[in-house]
Amino acid sequence: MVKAFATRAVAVGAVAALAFAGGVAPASAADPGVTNNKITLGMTTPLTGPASLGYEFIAPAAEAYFEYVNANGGINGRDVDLRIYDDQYNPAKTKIGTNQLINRDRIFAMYGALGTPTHSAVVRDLNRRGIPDVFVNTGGASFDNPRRYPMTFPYFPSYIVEAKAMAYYIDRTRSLDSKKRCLMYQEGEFGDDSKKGFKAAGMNFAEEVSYFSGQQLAGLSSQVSTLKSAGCELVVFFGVTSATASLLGEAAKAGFAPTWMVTSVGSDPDVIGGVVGSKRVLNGVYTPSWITPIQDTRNPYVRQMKVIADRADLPWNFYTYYGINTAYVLAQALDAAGRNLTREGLVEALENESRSFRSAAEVPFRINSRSHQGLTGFYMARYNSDIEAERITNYIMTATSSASGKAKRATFRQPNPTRKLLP
Amino acid sequence: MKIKLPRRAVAAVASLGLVLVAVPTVAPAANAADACGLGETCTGALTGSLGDSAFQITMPPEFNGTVLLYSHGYRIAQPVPAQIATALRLDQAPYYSETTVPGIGPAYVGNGIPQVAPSAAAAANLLGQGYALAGAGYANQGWAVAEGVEAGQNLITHINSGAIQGVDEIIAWGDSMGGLITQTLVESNPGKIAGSLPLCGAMEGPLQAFSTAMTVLYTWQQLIDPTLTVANYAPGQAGYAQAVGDLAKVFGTINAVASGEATVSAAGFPIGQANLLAGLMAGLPTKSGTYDGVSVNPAVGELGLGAALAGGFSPVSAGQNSAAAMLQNVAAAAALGIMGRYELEQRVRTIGGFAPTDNANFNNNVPVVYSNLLSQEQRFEFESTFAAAGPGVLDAMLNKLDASVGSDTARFPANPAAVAIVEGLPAAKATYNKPAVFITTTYDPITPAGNQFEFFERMTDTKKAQRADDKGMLKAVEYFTVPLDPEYTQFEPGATGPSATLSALATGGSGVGHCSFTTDQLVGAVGAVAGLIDADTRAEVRAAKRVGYRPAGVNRDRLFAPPLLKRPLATAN
Repeated sequence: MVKAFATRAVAVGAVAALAFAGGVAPASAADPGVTNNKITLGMTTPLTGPASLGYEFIAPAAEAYFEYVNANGGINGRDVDLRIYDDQYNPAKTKIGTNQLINRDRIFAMYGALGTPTHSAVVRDLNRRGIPDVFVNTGGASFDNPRRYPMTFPYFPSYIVEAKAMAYYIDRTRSLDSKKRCLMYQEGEFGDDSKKGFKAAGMNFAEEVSYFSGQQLAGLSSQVSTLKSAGCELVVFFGVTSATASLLGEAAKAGFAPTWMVTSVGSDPDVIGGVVGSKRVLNGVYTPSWITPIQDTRNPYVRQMKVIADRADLPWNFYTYYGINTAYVLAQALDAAGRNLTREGLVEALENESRSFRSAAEVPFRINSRSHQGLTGFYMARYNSDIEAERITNYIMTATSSASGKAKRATFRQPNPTRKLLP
Repeated sequence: MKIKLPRRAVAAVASLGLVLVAVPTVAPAANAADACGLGETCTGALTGSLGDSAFQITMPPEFNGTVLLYSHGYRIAQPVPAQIATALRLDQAPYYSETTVPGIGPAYVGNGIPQVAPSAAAAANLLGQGYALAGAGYANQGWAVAEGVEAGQNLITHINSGAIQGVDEIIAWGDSMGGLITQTLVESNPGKIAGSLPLCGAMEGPLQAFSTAMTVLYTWQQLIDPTLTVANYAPGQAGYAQAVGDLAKVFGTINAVASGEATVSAAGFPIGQANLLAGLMAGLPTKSGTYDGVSVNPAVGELGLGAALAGGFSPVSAGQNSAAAMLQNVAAAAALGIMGRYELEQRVRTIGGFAPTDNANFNNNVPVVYSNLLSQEQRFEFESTFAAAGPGVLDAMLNKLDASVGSDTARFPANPAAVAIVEGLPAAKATYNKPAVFITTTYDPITPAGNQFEFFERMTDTKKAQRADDKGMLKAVEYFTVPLDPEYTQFEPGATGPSATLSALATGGSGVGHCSFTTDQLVGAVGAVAGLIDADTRAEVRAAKRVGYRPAGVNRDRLFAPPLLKRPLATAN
């Protein structure tokens, strides 16, 4: 027992040290979760419960993509077997589920674990055990910390980056900058990171209100009342999709109609429409985005991903699209790790070859030994009268997850996808 | 820093040290020539320098040559009022005697009755396998490690003098404080003990054990009840009255919160959340015998959150479940934390020859930065729970605690002489000199799992252990027990709260609570020690270790590590 622990600890340390040195970690044979014909991955995510709205489509979408890959020869001859644990966005359940995935399912890597509070409960243990923790589904900036979490790799831009991008856009858009602006956020790191981003960008708000996770089920009328009483004209919102739905629904009932700007992870029209009864509440809402608009079916990524979703009989919404997209990026990383697949090899592939990974992202993807940031920026979109998020900037806004520094204007050209969207 | 001690304190500490390093001159009261016959139970008393200790030897019908020498755990040395003692089930324990305290009434106090095994079922099983069982009741109760070690040494001498015929080897085992006594005994008597089995041991010693209590009680004093004494109890009866008063206040408040009669403290903080924070910072688990820290009342799914809340159904969230668990855990730990501290401070006063006005506190919390005790993972996990009390409440509580950092008047400075005395009490040094098996309850509110784990890590990090490990011959292993069902909180249909009985059943008696082990787990661990003692090859070492992993409820994840032990002084800036 002691020897096994010590060996694993050394392995993790070695990965970290080599990562800093830019070297190559030695391959270790027979990592758990890899056989000659199968790679077993694990995911914790809310399939049920109050925070599952929308997010419940991500895991089936990833499954659909891996089934598609498996049907086309797998990755270096191996099928991908994704084991999913429904944690209901409950950290205590995340611990139980992660434990089962590690000990019962003997996973090779965690993939797409969703949620900041949930994943925070297990991230240290995953890293201690040397288990790759790839493409965490949260914008929590704390996960981008290669020194503390050498095995953990975020995917989408952090909430700090998102807040900086929002601030950049508001500052440069007279119709927004002149409005009395207010902030509403979810208590916890989600909201804290957004505030860090705005602070770094030098943006203040006339009023700040919050809600705690789960409160959206009982209604957010008191927050709406506060925002309305304060005379807010632009409300920036950082919260989960079900809370966006509750907020917009309550606001409509109260006759409160400011300009809304909603975080990229909380504005899916189908989900919100399902809760509120009409998608129309999103008309005119601003939302940053980093991915090609879902309705742009001429885009080769969107077109092929929709085919995969349709074949699996999945609804075509942002979360399905997102789930397939990240699974596609992971497949490329696994492919890049080579036939002799090891955990160290996957980390090396992520740190050294991420620039070559393709996806529907319209912003740069950056991972190296010093930063596991993942996607680095946003463009601004706005829901039109057809309730489609329409890109309204021809530029992107990039930033780091640092607590200082503002977003910068940049451009990005999306590369073509691989053939048939296979790795 | 050189610490000055009163001359009498040095002398007293030195005399305690002698108990450890030299076999005391013992005049056994029992007749060494009287061997205990097969199938018999023999009792008597042995006299040592610290007083008389009762002993018991129970012989199996057929003896396999191995004696299991058991050291029992902490027994509260001062009377606990009956109402609280009943809640803690002390009234049902044979190791507590009923007494009457003037001004208080009926009470229960730990006695010196000898104990030979953690449970009757385990004893019966082991006797059936041919083990002889021996154990003592210590000359004094409370933090009686010195008395426990002396009693164990005297009993070994007695056994080896012919009290048991045909002894091949002695294995020491013991639970909680008895685990520390066990390992201390082995380190002091390596030639006489073949192997050891600490169960949920308080291995990191009294400074660590009572620092956990200090974190909880100081948080309580700052956020819930400013009238708590917390530490530096007065000498004698006045101090006893203070300690009983603290215990009654904590129990009274917990009962009031559990029954819904109280929710907010006089200081304006939500009591449930303040208690949860106290427990989290102290490293107590968020699971108790009834509450698994996960499950919500099925009514939430059936009625929706709002209607379930309105109907009084609970828990309605994992955080509320955890907060309820922490109320139970703090209640379970409070008696040791308060009465135990009082007793140890009195011990310090006696050993050090302190004047009545001298400070007897040995846990310095002046430099502790409490907010640093709450790990990032804990903060994230419970942020929504704290936020449910209102935005900013968590920060307000932490700010209140940290505001007094560095203050000798608002905090509890330790007397260096008291610290030196407590540090000088008998303790194990994590020496690897004999096969050692540890078994730990993963969710233990009194000896957090990290306590034994960190001791085990130190032991197995020694050069000797590493050399043995390199050869595949490391004869040390730690097992962790877990509840059989990780989501064990159970509800009767339509009930507003969980069923304590059904929930306890779902744990299988494993993994949650203080020293919560099944008979199979205890017997498996004994089998593992015995196997390691006999193992001559790597294969035999591996086989012996597997024995302890077999029983249901033993975590087979060999890379498992419990949360780090909270060390308050390490947070100082």
